[in-house]
Amino acid sequence: MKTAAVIRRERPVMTRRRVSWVGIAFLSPAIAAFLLFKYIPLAQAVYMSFFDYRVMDPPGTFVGVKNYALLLQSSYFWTALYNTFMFYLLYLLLTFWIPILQALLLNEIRIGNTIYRFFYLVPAATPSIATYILWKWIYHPDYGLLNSWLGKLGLGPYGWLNDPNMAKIAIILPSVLGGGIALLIYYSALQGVSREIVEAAKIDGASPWQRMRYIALPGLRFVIGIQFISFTASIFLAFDQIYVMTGGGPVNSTTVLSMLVFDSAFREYRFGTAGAISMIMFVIIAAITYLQLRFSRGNE
Amino acid sequence: MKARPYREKGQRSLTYTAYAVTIAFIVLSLVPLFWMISSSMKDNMSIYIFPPKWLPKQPQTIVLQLQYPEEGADGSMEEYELDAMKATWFTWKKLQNEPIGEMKIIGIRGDRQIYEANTPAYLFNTGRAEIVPTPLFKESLIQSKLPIIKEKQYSAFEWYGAVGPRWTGEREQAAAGTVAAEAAKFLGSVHFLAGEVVSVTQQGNWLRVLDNYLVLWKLGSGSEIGFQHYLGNSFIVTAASILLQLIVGGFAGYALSHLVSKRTSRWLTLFFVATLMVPEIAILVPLYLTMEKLNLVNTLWGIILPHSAWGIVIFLFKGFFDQLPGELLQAARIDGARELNIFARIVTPMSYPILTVVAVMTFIAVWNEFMWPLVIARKQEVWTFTVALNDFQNRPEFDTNVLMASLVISTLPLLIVFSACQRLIEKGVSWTGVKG
Repeated sequence: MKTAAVIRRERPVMTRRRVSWVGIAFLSPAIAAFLLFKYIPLAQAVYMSFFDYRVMDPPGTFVGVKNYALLLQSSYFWTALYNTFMFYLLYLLLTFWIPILQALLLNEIRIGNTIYRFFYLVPAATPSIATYILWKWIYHPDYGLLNSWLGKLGLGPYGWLNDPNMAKIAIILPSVLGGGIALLIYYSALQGVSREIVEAAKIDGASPWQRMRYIALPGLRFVIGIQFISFTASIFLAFDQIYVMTGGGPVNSTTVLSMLVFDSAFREYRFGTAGAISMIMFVIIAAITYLQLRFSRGNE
Repeated sequence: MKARPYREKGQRSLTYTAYAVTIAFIVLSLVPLFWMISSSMKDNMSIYIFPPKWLPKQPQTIVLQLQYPEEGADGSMEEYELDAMKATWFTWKKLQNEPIGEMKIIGIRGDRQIYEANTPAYLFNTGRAEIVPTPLFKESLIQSKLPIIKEKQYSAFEWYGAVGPRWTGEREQAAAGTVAAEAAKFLGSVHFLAGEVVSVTQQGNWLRVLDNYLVLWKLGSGSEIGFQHYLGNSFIVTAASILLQLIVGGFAGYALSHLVSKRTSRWLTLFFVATLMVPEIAILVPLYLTMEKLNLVNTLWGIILPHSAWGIVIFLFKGFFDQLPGELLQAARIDGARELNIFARIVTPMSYPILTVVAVMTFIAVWNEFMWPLVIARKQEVWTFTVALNDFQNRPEFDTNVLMASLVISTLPLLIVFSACQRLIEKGVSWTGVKG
């Protein structure tokens, strides 16, 4: 015990003196990459948001907080903000809990479990862009599979992506069935729930349903918390599905903040505005992440 | 009475519910995939019918026999070829909405076949817009297009001359309502052919359901940039990104765990991991401008390089290397081994689990990536397939069946990865999911 302590005390000193240069050499590519591709752009984004930025003659004129002020006056921005939050709520209601349920139930299946997991994973093999294009075809107002099926039930025809009232739901639906990766995360977390607790609950007379509700589900709490943070970020930043499926339409019903950034930067070349929107998004996400962390810590 | 195993109350209902819900979800999620595959095998007509059919129709091979008079048989091969092309392209254009998989024209003079012309559906569909843009069936049209047909080898034409195989002399009439009967009706009503139509028959041919894939391939051959090129770009980008992350992230993670002091390590880890909070879209514009300064816009390197800065990768590497026994490395150091040697000989062989996890994770993420390539790759030559797919769906010359074929192809790489290493992915996913 004593010798171990001695060695441990001595080692860092030796290590530091002998290898610190090597350490710097090992770290420098990563530090350079992070500075170049993360920190400098981030600083530049903040900087840009205070300018009427011109690419030809950077940085253009300093306008202070005018970019932000103009944004707050623009109804377009408020629509996008509203849509972003609506998307978030709808995604939460329609998709977030599904992989959790799937994993809890899959955990009760003893025979052929690997095969079920594989089939859950199969839809995730289709690249997300391909999935959105496929769903556009399924939604096709004239030849689509979905309208044909609903027609047999006497419903529709619906406009789906062409209908301002339905476009949001139509964009979200593909994700309802595509949660294969999240399911695997929950499932493998369930394998870590201790058998002893389950057995003890059994002896205490908890029914299988109760064990699922009161042992397995709480066992997932930590993973659900982590998933929730990355879910929140991914939905607030959602861009691909909207760009591919509707491009923000119809009647701006699916325009979100990330679409606004993209449009103002690469269609209208107003980089200052794009920077300002980016900053607002950054702050919102940071705030939500912080609140979520506070909340989950407060629970424990 | 045989003793039945003790079963808890509720066990049965839970098991049944579990199976029912699981199977229902799986079936539902496989329906779109099935629809994608089925659509990719449909011909240009049945893809656009309502209500849609579940399965593609069987493509038909149409065989057309043309008889030429023996007297005055001084026509050159060229003239016969022209006749065969008229019979092929005009008839097909007229019937372009029918499930035709192949068109075969057999020329007969006397009791011998003098030529045979073949055109498969994928070549017809590739050349359709170019050769027969409108249903205006004029001699001069095909005359001007014949060089193109020959050059691009849309139709194969084999000339037998006087030594062709014997003609059996059968004259078949197609059953009413078939595609062949439609063709016969059309040919009976027009007079552009030199030969006399003696028989029109059809044969089912399932192999031709794969023609949309051939169209996709053909669209990208020659001088055109096609889907195969974009897939190639994606492979290069994905492979290079994986390598870059393994090297940059591996070195950095190792240094954080074993080469620098605890305090430096803590600060630097924060420096790396804090970037997880920076949303990609927030730095999209300045990152683009940075790339412009580095002259990397419209290059594959421009897509690849920013992938070297992923906080999660360094976090995972550090987490793994923290568990490696420091004593072992220390022993090697005392023996005089250099750090690079220790890394290559001792650390790397022990790190296969983390290397594969990072590789698979990067593969999935980069393969699917859309926004960054869309922004940085503004020229077709450097598009990844995701950017190309988005473009295909807006291009009128891409019929939905061909589009669906491209989606099926783009699904295959990940499907292969998933089936080959399901366990590995499950391990990697749970690892990143819990820690990230």
